Amino acid sequence: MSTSPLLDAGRHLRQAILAATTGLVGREQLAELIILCAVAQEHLLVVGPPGTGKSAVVRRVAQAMGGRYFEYLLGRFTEPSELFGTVDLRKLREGTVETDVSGMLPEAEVAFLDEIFLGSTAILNTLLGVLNERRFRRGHTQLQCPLRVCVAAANALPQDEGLAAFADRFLVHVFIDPVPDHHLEALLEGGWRSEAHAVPGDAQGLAPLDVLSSRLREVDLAPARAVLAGAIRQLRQAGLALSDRRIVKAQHLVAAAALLAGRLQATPADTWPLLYVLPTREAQHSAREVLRETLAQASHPHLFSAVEEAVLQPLSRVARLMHTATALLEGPPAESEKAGEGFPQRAEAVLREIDANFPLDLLPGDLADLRRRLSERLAAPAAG
Amino acid sequence: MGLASSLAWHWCARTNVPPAQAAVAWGEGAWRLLARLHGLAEAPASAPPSTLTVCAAQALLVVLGPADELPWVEGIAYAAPCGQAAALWCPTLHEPDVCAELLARALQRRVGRTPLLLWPQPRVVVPLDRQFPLTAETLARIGRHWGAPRTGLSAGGAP
Repeated sequence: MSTSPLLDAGRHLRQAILAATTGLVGREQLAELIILCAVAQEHLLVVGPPGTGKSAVVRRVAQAMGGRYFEYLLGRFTEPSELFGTVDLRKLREGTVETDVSGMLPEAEVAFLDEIFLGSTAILNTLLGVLNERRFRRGHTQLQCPLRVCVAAANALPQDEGLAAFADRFLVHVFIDPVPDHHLEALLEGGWRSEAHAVPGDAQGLAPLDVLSSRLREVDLAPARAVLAGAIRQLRQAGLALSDRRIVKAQHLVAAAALLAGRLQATPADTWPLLYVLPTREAQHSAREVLRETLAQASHPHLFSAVEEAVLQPLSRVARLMHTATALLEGPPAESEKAGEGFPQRAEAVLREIDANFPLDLLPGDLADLRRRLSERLAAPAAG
Repeated sequence: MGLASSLAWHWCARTNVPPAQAAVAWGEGAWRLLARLHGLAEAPASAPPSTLTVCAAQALLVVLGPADELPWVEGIAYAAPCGQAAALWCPTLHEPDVCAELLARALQRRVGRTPLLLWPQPRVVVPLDRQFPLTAETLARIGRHWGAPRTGLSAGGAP
């Protein structure tokens, strides 16, 4: 079978990320990691202060993907029925304890659970089955859940051992901060626009996502495995240990990264998701330094921000810069008018980032060509 | 001013490329940057006021401000504070291979001003303490200081 359906699905999901993050400043990384987790059939924990747009991103990604969405803000007194549904009284009269799950978490394809660690033991235990096995069990009710990805949010990682073990079930941990001062204008302007424009729904629903995740087990990880093992050894030597379960499951993310790039074979450039498997912000920060050389070649044609934030090295920016430059040079004018900026402003921003990140003599060939074309087109009106 | 130092150090590629906080142009590039800045300074009154500031020396122009607002012209380079030494600015692409804080302190003692821009090509140390807001008057003064205004220079394009 040709890999072109994979390429199409990857491009489609990139469009979903773009639609979901339009107007949301600095939240592309989170949106991309949600998609990565959904393809990998894993779950994501996002840690950050209130009001940083966590729920907005998940909601908009779900809208852009077209899946059935369930969202709930947990509190200390949240009852399991608020998430999983109430007991079906009609069935109860007949002598069976069944749960009416209509519109509740067991039916969701994309779920967002805010303040997850405030959930009661009963909620978290039931949730474990839904997350790990995609099965909902309560009384006589036994259901297969269609859940693709669950995103949980918290203000901080839990100190309690039991809750920490629950947090460990979320393979990807991402830490987000409020938008920095120099992006406040963009935050205000983008927020104003995103409130006015709903995310367009997707007629294809979750089909592109399912195309990719259905082939997860077919991905050949052998070309990336030695690099992955080497990286884990480096982390261990630096005192950054990962549980065996997280190490094994990290391969799901590597395979998902390859699939999203349109490949059935992973490469060493796909190993960057390992950084997000580290459970704490401090461990991720240290791992960037430890894995600096290992991850230097990390890249992805669609998950630009997730790679950049993981690696924080110039080469990880190449794919995004090429994508932006190509869109500017070849895309329809309407796509170049984001945030009210015309071609000169956007071209100048790309050129500025290229020149700030790469010596011209070390610029990758394709990017060097795009830089030349942008520079020439920028100069054209003045020369004409 | 020339950089003569008894401290043995070399330039190396930055391992973490920081966001640019200044644009630096020399020679012809400085004239192109000046032309570009004229365009920015003449923005309509309805546009938000620029937060950029400007530093100039002979054949050198430095524009400081947030990365998103910095201009681009062909031949320009970008700078940012060096590691933990907030008073020592270096190219975004290169840094000294010695402790930046110690080097900053040594240079400050020698030059007597701070912050400082340390540059590899040409090898100079430039004080950044005399910054002026980006206005048409500032740019005109810089142009007069440099000599007769150049003509036929556009902001972008190949040199």
